[in-house]
Amino acid sequence: MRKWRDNLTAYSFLAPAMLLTAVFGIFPIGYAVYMSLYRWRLRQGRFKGLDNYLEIVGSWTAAGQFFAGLILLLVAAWVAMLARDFRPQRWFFRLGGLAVAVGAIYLCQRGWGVMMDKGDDDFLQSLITTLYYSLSTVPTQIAIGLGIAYLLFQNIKGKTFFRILYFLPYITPVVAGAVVFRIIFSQRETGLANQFIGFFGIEAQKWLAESTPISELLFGGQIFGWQLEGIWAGPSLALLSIAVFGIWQYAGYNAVILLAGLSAIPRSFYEAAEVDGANRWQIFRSITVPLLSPFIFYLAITGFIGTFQAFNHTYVMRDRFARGTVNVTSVEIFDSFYLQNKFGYAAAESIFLFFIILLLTIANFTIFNRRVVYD
Amino acid sequence: MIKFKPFNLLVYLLLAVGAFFAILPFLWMISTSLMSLGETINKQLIPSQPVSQGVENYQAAWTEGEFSKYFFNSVLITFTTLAGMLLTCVLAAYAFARIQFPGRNILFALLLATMMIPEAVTVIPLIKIIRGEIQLSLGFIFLLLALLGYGIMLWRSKVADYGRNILLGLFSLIALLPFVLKIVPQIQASGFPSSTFLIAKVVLVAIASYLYWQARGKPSIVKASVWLSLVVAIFAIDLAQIIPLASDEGESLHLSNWSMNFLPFGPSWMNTLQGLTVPFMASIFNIFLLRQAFAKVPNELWDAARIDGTGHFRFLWQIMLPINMPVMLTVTLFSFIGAWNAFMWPLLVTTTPRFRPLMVGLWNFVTEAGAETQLLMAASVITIVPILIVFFFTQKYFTEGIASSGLKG
Repeated sequence: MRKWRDNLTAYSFLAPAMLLTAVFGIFPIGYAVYMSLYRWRLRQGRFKGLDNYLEIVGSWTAAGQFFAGLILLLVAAWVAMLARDFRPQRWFFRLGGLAVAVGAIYLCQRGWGVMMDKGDDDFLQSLITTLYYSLSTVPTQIAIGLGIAYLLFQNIKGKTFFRILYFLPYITPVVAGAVVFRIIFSQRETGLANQFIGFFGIEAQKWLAESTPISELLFGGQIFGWQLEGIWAGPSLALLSIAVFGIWQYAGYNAVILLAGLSAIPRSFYEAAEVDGANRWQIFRSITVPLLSPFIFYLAITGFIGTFQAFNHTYVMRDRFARGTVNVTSVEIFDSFYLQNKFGYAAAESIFLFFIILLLTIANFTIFNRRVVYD
Repeated sequence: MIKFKPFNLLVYLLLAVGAFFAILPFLWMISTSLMSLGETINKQLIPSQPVSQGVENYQAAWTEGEFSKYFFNSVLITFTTLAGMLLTCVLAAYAFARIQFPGRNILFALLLATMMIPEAVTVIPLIKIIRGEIQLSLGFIFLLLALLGYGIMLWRSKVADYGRNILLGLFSLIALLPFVLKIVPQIQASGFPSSTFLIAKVVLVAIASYLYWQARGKPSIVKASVWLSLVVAIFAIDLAQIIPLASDEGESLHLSNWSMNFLPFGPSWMNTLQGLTVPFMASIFNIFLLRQAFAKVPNELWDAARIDGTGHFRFLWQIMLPINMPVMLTVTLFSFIGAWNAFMWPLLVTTTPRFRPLMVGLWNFVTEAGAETQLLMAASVITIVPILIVFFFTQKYFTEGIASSGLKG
């Protein structure tokens, strides 16, 4: 009797949350898969099977090659990691890993070339743009966050004050912040960014309206006589300006998390190192960073996945003169269904994105998890 | 007493430089919002008449830019979301943390799994739901029910519990209805579809059936009927999707087009308060956080309360919530920020200014204000200030909440 009443209470407590999740959380997932199998402009069209996905990747064999290459790359990393467990044969494992990696990269390159040729190059390019964006923001904001956390951890006064200041960018509404940065990085000579570089005698830049790759702006697109093309030309200045906003917003947040990590390191470790006569840099390098590695790992994963989902600030800071060089994947998907009304196709794109995020998560865990020191 | 050290001086210097860059955009925003149009075009960093010009700019943004309206919309949306969110999440978290009931782990795992799905995937169907464009077919609901039942059955494949089996059987009986009612006469009329999709499904169901028959106890009539009805239900939907009933100007009317006019799959929720708030009322992350906190409360309290004749609801209201005030505050604050800052969803849902919140208003203002940077900056200040005020009063909970919840979540 009591049991029945308990169950009834539990189910009635759960009912609102489960009902909402079912309708607005679970149902849309299934429905997105369903939509992605149809030609679906404004209304539902004919059944297309996997043709929407084929339109994205161009050719199944090329996509297969590309993903096989990615998985091989993981295998290569794993083989190279084995060197730690088999000390005497470590060169064998390292060379083996390297060989697999070279093959994997070749496969990726080959598959990707064909995909770009036959598939939806706007969408595929947006994946590269997102990758540029992640690689330019995540490591930078973690490094800056680490620096701030280290400074804040010192025995100084006014910690709370500084912590509040550093935390402000994180709680600022993304849209409002992005609107401000839009004006700061405007192409006018009186924009704040242009005034700032003018202070160092650099001529005014177009910033958010600049679609030229950064390598071409810096050194004419050549390194030691090599012409940088395609992927290797790097992100556009417009994308980097957006990345500056991302770094500005997340550096303080990373600092707060790393500060919590620093506080968790036992004092005795530092004292022992000081007795042994280690200097500040040695302590930082050999105690602080390794013991912080779970926190850094956490920030890297969430940051990386976050950049693949980030939408608002890129959407607000996007300038039409940047000509698609800032279209990260989420913005590209949004355009597909909001501007072009290609619902079925956009659903296919979003599910493709989901699998990429899944792959990245798995990759992050296999590669980094072994290098992380958990107490 | 901290001694003066040269190293500390360096620390302060670096911290100050960093802090300068962190707040530079704010300073610049405020300073620009106090300038006249002419001053924003010149290379000027400090406004000449901050007070009079500032009053003019902010008044223009507040009244002509309609930011007063957007502001109150934002307040309304934020508080509605918060109220609904707290109610549903607290109840659900309590049930997950304190009550043992059948299906607890499955439901919780299901919730956590949906957290992994990126927003981009769900937003496309969601906007169709809100526009009232999804004419959810009975067949689709049955498909979902059948799959749910089947999933539960496979999950609990070792428990020989006939009560549950009968329940599952009822599920699938409902799923059979369209098959029995409408399709049977049509089967002869049209050939059985043979797509690769169907083959994949057959293979999947075959594997699942094998597992089902392998894993459970000895065969029985109930078991067989559950299996049979579920399998048939799964394929009945295929038939419903593919077999056309009639043709109407080139567009075939499928059985799957039977519309169910219940909310929100009926009337449009575009430009309504419920369309802006209801989809965000069940925050799984918040349920998770609250559950963690509720589970830590010692069981002795519940035993004592029960002896006094207290029920779950009263225990939750009078003991759980007061004890867990810090977590409640953290959850409320983060949800407040999330609701206030929401952009993509309101952008999709509001096509008229009726319920348009600040963020969408600001985005529209970017094109409207054009070259009038000072008005745009004044509008930005209006959107940021409420968040800053909340933050300054509660910053301790913010940083502590992030440092603890961010890592455990």
